[in-house]
Amino acid sequence: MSQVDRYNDTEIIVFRVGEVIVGLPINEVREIFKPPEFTPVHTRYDYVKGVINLRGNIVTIIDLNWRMGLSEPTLGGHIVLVEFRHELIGLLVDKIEDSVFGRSENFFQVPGNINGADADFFKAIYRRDDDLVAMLDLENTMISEHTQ
Amino acid sequence: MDELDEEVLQLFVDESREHLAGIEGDLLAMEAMTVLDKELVNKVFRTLHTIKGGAGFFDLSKLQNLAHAMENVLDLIRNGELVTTPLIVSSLLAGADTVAGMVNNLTTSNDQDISAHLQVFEQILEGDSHIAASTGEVETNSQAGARELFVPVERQVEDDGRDNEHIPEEVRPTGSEGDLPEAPAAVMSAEQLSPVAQASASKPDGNKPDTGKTAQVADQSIRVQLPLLDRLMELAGELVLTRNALLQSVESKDGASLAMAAKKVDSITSQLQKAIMSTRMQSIDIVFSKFRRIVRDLSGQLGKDIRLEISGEEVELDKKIIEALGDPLTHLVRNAVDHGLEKPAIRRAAGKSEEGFLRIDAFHEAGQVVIEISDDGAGINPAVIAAKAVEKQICTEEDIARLTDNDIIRLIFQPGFTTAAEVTDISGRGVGMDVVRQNLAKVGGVADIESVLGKGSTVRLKLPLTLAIIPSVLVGISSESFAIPQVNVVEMVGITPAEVKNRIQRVGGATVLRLRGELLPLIDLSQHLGIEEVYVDPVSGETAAERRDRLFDRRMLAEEGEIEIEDPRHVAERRQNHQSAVHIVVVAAGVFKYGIRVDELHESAEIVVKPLGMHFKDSDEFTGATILGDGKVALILNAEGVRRLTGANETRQSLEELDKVVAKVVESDSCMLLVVKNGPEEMYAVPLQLVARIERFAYSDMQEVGGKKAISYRGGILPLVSLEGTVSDKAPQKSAAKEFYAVVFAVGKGEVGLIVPGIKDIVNYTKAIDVNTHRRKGISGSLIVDGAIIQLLDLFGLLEIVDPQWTGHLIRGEIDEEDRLTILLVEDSQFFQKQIADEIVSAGFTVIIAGDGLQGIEQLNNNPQVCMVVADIEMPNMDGIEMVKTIRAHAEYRSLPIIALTSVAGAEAEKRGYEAGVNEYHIKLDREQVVASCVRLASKRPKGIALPQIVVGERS
Repeated sequence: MSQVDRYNDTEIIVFRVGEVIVGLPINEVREIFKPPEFTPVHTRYDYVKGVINLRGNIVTIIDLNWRMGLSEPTLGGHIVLVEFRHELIGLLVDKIEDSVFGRSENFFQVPGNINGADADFFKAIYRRDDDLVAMLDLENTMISEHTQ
Repeated sequence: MDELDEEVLQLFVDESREHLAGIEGDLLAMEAMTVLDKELVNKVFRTLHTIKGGAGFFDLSKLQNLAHAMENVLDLIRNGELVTTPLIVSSLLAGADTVAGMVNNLTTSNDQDISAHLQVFEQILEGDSHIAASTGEVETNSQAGARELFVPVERQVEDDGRDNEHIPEEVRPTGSEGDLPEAPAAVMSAEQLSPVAQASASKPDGNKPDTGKTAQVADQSIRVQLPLLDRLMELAGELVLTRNALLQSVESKDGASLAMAAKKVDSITSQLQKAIMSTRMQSIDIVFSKFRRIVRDLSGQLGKDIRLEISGEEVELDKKIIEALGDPLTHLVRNAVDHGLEKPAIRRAAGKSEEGFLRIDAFHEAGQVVIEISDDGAGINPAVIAAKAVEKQICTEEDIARLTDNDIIRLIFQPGFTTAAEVTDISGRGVGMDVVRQNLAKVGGVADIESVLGKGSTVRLKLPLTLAIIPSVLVGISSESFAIPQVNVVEMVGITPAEVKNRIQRVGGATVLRLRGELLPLIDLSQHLGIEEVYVDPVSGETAAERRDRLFDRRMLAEEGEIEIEDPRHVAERRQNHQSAVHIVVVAAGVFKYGIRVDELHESAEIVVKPLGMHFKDSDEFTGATILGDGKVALILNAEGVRRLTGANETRQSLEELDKVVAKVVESDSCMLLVVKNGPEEMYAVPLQLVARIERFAYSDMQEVGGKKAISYRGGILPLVSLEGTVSDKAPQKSAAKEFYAVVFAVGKGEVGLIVPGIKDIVNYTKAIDVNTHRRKGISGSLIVDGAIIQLLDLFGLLEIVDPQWTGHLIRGEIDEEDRLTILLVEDSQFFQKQIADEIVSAGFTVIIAGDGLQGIEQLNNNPQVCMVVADIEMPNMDGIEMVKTIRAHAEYRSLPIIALTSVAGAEAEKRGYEAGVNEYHIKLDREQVVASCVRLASKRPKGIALPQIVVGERS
């Protein structure tokens, strides 16, 4: 995986999904908010938690914990709203941690497994002061073998 | 050209451009496909087919011929007889360019030389085996054909400058000037064909954006009447004012003015919405108007005599829907003219008027627009359709056997069908109905057909008024809300708990709803979608996870004996519990109907459709979502998708079998029996449907009056019938138990209770009932359950044994149970006592009997409910005259009706009677007169008047 070099210097929003520390470049994050009441939906994907009404738009909420197959239940502390292929999608995460400025030289290749989550969900690893932030690969998160 | 033609022509141009916009991509995709993608080829085919049809109508023979030639090639590809090679695709692309050019420049299209194209396509058709086999090697082709091929030429585009004012500047093909080979009718050898064809195939890259742009230009502007714009401005102004008021009242926290402002916002918003929507509305006349000409021309061409009636032209629809309607309607009208209506000679032979009748009608119905195209033609022969369907492998013969005639006819909506025996110029090849269905589905419409062989056909299109907002029914399933578009809703059915058993049945694992003789698959969405079922406590309103089985499931189990019912009263109670009523929304998905069981029916509302995200891409049970008044999201159910999800059509395939099974179940429903015990060995059964309820009484409360058992009950008297002495030889045995059950039956307007010592069971008896062995009065037959013989009671027979008169009046129901009046009969002769008492009782009264005048007064004192007295005159101790005088001495008894009976008629006696205060005088044996008087005179005594005790002898 040599996608590491894709990251330039960027601000990173860091959040927690179970035991995994996940990051997204700030330009991929549209909004962060507390989860409102969901309307449960029933799709082929059990990680689709439901839909919400976000100012008149229907937004699909994805439970990242489920998506990554982590065992712990999601606390569902926050929703990170991202835009993917012209669609707003909410990522349910446990906790928003931080925002850090990442320099491009601090991005590294993803190891095989990150605290139980498959490496495919990540594009790179960012080395924060003393821990690692897994940079979320939206493409692989949104598209599972079924959606294709 | 007159104005009408101009408009229709423009419509054709617009439509064709729209179709052609995508053809290039589709053709290229065809080249790339490794396996035959029928849908894709069909799409291209349909495009050309539509253009061919339109061109034929406008007499654009060149365009028509070219499109037809291309169609032929595509038909071979579609049927797998021709493999798409780069050569073929190149030729098709070149052809499509020419078609596009001709469409953009219709006036000169007939001057165009298309012979080159035609020859290429002809060669493809003729040499197909070679081309197919050699995967497009031009050499093989040329050797086989040894013929020179013409290169497609775009000559017409040079003429685009003249006579095309109606085409906007920017849509004129620009590709002609530079990048086209400047070689009209250039003759090239076959060896050269391939590169040139490819070159001309790549050329449209320059040409295509123009056509695309054109379509967009046509799409993106709309004519709006000035008054409507003024109205919009006005509303916007009002909205601004109201906003100011709203802001002000929020600031001042003035509740009253806030409420008023809110109301105003509400009203303005809906007006604004309506006005904005109406800017998108166009009258359907735009589409309808072209049919007069089409029908006239076609009928002339075909030698048919057709009278066309068009109505409802003023009906308005969303622009987008109107646009989508063009194709399907044209096809339907063509079909009707070409295949539906017969030639005059045939019509005459069939005994119809020579003039065929075609009717196109549009009207509003339940928030939708319905368009009907009906003809009085030959109709559709289901047998022909069936044969064709089997031949085309659309379905198997077994499928056909299960379908009704009309369902078979509906198969014509499947792709690959034609009703014409030969492919004609006007319609055919079986794309028609496919186009209809697909185009309608795109705008949320549905099509249905009804046809009677020899009488004619009617095609019904149902369309939503607009696309953005659809009227829907909101339903609740468990704790979730869903919207079902009204266009899909056929009806809503509420099934009372008592009916559940009969209406909802489980057959072979599937649940079906019985609706007016039809069997519909019933879908429980919570099962299919995995909705957690909740149970709403009817009292507290609290919700909890549903533990109880589905109502009908439980019933079924109970009937199968898998659940033990300890106390039959619970069954009765449950049946009356309104909370367990079942709501069903019957929806139509295309031509297929099924029921969706819902927990709650909410309001019907106009909902705004919002798209769902990518994760719903293959959840086709939902078409979108909407935001409800409370801000929550409700998903919109797609009737077709839900059907697919639940595989309800498979249920339907065996519907007829189901019907048989269910018919049996239903038959046996009449054998839902309540089994009662009269003794350890003696059991009787009564049909459960006759049982109103089951009560429990103490023997001590039972009264026996005049040889009849009764019990006071709910403020009235419940007559009781016992098995002993009627159908059972057993001696009455009261002592054993203190209590007994009364199985209460409704008889006429009244009720009768059957005394039974014990209730054994409720059984669902499916086997035949032996009507011979045990049959006698009161017993209609016998059956065997668990090895024991059970006699089936004939309730009416039983009542007749007790008292033939009684049944009669109960059934006639002349007097209500609760309103039974009490009559005091004073008569010394026991014979007459019984005679008259029976008669009066059978007329619905309660009778108290006294042996003489003194006893009569005593009874009157003891029974204030007595509302009438029937008295004999000649009696011991105190005669009738004396008794009447004594009674009448009290003012409170002045109004009490008293009739006198005597065996001696005479003027003198009568006079004495009337003097004493008798109201009427009758002869004892005239019992009918007596009863008639009772019915006429007896009425409830007013309550609250204290009746004094009558003291005998006071008067004298």
